[in-house]
Amino acid sequence: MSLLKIENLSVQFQVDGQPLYAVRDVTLHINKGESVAIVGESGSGKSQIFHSVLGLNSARATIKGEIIYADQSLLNQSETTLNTIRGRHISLIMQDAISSLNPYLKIGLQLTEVLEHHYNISRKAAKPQAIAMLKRVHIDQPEKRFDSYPHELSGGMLQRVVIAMAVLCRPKLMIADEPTTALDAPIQYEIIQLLADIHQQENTSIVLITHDLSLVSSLCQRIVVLYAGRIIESGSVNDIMTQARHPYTKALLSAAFISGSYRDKKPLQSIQGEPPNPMLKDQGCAFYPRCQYARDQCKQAIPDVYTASLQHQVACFREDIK
Amino acid sequence: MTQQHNSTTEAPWKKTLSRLLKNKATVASLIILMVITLFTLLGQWFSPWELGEVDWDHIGTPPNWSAHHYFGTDANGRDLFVQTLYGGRISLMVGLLATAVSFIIGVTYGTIAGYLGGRTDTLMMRFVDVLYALPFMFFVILLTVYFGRSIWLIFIAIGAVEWLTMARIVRGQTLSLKQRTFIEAARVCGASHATIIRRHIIPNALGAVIVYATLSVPQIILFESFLSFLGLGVQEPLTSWGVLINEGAQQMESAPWMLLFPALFLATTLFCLNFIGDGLRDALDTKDTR
Ligand SMILES: Nc1ncnc2c1ncn2[C@@H]1O[C@H](COP(=O)(O)OP(=O)(O)OP(=O)(O)O)[C@@H](O)[C@H]1O
Ligand code: SF4
Ligand SMILES: [Mg+2]
Repeated sequence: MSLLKIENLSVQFQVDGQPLYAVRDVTLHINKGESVAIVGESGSGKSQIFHSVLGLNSARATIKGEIIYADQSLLNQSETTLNTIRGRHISLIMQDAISSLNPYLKIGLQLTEVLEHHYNISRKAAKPQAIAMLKRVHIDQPEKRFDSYPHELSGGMLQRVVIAMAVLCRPKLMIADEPTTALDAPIQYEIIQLLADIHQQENTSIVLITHDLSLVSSLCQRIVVLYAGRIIESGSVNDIMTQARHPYTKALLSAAFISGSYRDKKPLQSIQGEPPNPMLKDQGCAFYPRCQYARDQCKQAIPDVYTASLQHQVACFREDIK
Repeated sequence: MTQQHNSTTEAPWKKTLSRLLKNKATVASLIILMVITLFTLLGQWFSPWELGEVDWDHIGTPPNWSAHHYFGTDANGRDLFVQTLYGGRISLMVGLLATAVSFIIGVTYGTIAGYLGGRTDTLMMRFVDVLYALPFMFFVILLTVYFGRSIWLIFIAIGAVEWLTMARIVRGQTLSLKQRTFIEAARVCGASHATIIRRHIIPNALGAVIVYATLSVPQIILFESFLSFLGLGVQEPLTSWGVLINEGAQQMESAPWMLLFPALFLATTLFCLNFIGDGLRDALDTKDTR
């Protein structure tokens, strides 16, 4: 049962009069209670897909396609309607989570404000809920932290506060955009554990956007791999981790493997060749210039998707690669 | 919970305040300014003379304590102590009110322009540029000549000029605040534009304008004095320091006290306000102390 349906989504920007293709024809369904990892290198369009879901793209973006959340179309929806969905039904933990708190306001106020807004209750009535949520994300002395300013907390704690803010209204879907990038390795693991807890206990669907394949398996059931704005492979964690078929995913995995788990922050950089240029309209497979399996056919047309196994889909001409 | 709460929570504005209070010149200025304000409000208690009351026995006399003319009298036998304190009320009020009016207009206008951005912003700021280019001093003079001397006209005229700079400052602040992640994060949580402006933009943009506003109070007082000096200030029986200085200057040789006292008060007030403005600027200068 799909909670969120993204159909044929394209996001384009105009940069100096030239089109920039940030997202190209992406179709993705997120089911109720499911947790999905979106993996891809920097600039592959991970954030833009989900900014489109919440209507957060810059005014310069042209968006095509269809986004449907619980039978309601979200594209071209009014701000007022979106404001009832943002934070309440679908919440987003932004990529730069730590600076997503206002440095001049107490943490408690920033939390209660979300409740005030969505449930129309007073700040006083919202306080116990906010404190309970701080406790829920394992912040000790939540009563004290309620009255703290962001600069008084460590990065890991701030990340927890931001998560608390995202789950405060018990959303159906939570999108976490690289929630661990700024954190030390042990804290990264704790944060992923926390998200996994919330996923299991609240039955919230989770989308984890990440560079880092090593973080994925303890939280997610499904992995979607993006390259140059397109989904090039998707499947269960097991499918992708052990039986990846697409040459890019394979390269990604071996790069992650060589660099030795999650300690290295930029494992993807070790893939040979130039990252794709988002200003180019793709005539063929975008991975062609870097692909060791490439054939002439690959630069003529965009590869069709083939089904490798039940959930496992790959966009590549070389169905023979195992 | 047995753990000691040793680190006290400190609001960013409290830090600014404590930094401000460490600045001796600012604190001294604040105190002096308070004394001057109290003097203009309560000074009348200490004098038996009323504003505009003529003492036929003491015309153009220097300070004379036995007759309770502490600052002397003018050529019409009116008590200068009383005139100075009433004049002070007007001067301070013109300064504060005109600043308050331009503050409200400037902050509203600048926030809207900066927040909406794009074409609306360009249009709104062009309008400000046009107003900037107009010779306002000249307008004020024309208006006062035409409509007669009115304190309201002075408020409006001064307010109309001062808000321009404030709007520019706030717009600049808003433009840069708009880029901050926490503004987008507030949107992500479903906050409306009105909430974002009220909660996140205006409070954070205010610092820079407050400094400018504090510094524009003395400018306005001075401008009013200048108008008075041209004979275009407030009208009798009202008076202001500017009016008094103008009258005093005309009798500088025969009755120097008539210039001395109002000028002393005006100069002290201007000094204090400038020190406070500078102190505020320094106190607000260190951004986001982490
Ligand atoms: N406001 C914008 N104007 C122009 N181009 C943009 C804008 N926002 C994003 N882009 C471009 O869109 C493409 C996709 O960006 P996106 O932020 O989705 O990447 P990402 O996969 O999230 O990367 P990262 O891992 O670095 O966050 C990039 O090439 C980026 O430069
Ligand atoms: S389609 Fe061709 S170029 Fe693209 S990944 Fe497959 S083999 Fe490589
Ligand atoms: Mg991103």
